[in-house]
Amino acid sequence: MTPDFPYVQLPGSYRGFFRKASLWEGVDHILSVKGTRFNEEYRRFYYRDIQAFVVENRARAGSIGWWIVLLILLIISLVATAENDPPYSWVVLVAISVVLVVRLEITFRRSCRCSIQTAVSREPLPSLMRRTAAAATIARLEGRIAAEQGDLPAEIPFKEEDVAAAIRPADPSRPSPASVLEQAAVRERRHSAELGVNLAILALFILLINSVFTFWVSSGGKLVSAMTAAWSGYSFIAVGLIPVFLSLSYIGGLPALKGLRALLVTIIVVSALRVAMGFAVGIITASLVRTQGTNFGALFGRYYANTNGAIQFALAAGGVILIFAKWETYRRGEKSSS
Amino acid sequence: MLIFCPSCNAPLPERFFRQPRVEGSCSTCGTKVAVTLFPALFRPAARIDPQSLTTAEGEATCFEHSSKRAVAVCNKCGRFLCALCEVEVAGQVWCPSCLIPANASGPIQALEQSRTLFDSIALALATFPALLFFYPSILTAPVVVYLAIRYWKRPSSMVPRGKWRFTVALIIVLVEISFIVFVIIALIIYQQGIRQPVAQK
Repeated sequence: MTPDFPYVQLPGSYRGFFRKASLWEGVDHILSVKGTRFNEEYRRFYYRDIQAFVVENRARAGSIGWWIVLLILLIISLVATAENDPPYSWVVLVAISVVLVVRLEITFRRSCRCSIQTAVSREPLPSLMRRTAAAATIARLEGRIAAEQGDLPAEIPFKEEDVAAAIRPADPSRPSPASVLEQAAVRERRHSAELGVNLAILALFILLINSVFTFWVSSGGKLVSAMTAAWSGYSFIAVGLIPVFLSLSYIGGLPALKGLRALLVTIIVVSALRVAMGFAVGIITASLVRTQGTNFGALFGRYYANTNGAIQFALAAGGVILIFAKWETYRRGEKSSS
Repeated sequence: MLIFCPSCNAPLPERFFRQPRVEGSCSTCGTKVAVTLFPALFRPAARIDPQSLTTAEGEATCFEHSSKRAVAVCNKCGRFLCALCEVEVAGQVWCPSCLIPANASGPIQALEQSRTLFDSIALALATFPALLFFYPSILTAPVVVYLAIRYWKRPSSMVPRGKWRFTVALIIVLVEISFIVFVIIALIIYQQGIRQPVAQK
């Protein structure tokens, strides 16, 4: 939670290929966000106005796109298993079947439709599709709403006029919604920072191995062929970029981790340029071998690989130094208040 | 005081209103429903006495309605406002004359109903050419650069959302452009490499 974004996400979200929905906790209201990939629509429900949450048990399939993807994967793995090509493709078939069974179980036995009622509207909350998420969200909001409206008695009287007298007013010693939200934001920030930094360390470790691999290949390490060496390098880049992007998604909104974010973006830029240049360098090297002779072409290739390895090593070492120099700040997700 | 079944829209029976949290079945369609109630449900609807709106002699009146009693002051322009003109925005009281132009000049966050996500549009335009072997990137790359520069500082979403989509879109576009440039250079060198042995002969 920052002054620009005064919200903390509540449990549950819907992410389809085209549509999405989520629910956010603010200081005096909850914000329901619905939209497509390119547009968002907002609805606000103030704590003082919320009358009830209604949760209906029903089957919810979720995004149809994921079902289509699962079905396609299932068909491909069935065909592969029937022809036994590639070998052990039945392992993939079993894994996909397990995912399918779990998804069916969630769809039919653990799904719900949740709606929120105020004096003037009854709105569905599409992000709360699963019963566990709905229960967690309502439990978290009960305290905020009680702080605004007071508590209902365990047994509500029959007559409406008696209910008003039975409502316990909000406890003034109860922490204010703003402070509770701030605490939740601190917890969330710390959690994101820890995950983000751990993933960044993993990414730097992969980059370090990649640089060692590049030096090894450049110094004459024999693989099956030059093509195998090239594709191994691209695989390293692809595998290394996964934790980089995951780390960025966690530390994206944390100003204290600006340095680490810049480093990760640099790694992405360098990796992208390596991929783009790799193809061109291959053509240039082949051309130099043809025109200037084998030695000159090989020298150019080795020079390029060594530069590549040195840049990777510098980035990995720089990243490790940066993380350990700012260890406390990075683990906490914010600068020390002292 | 009514709550409706989300499945059949019939009012839920009396037993759903006797405890703050009740689970049960709709008496009309049998759907299983869990209801969590809050005191606002039992709050009587606010009734305004028309007599209380009219002013007595010596009382402050609304700037817009001279016959109505002032109940608040606009936090922006200081005008006296009646209950009809009083608009609460993000914990402040504004009058309609201040609210309309303020919202027109730049949307007030507490009133915003929707936003366009230009960073997602830029990312889609940067990645979409990959499906068509990057040929459309000659057209889409300038659009991505324009969107990133034009909307970089504008808040993209009301909920936390970093700038990484713009960053990734720019990186992809940079790669696409540099790939095109490198291929052109490589082709020129390759062509020269073919010509040179012929010239030596």
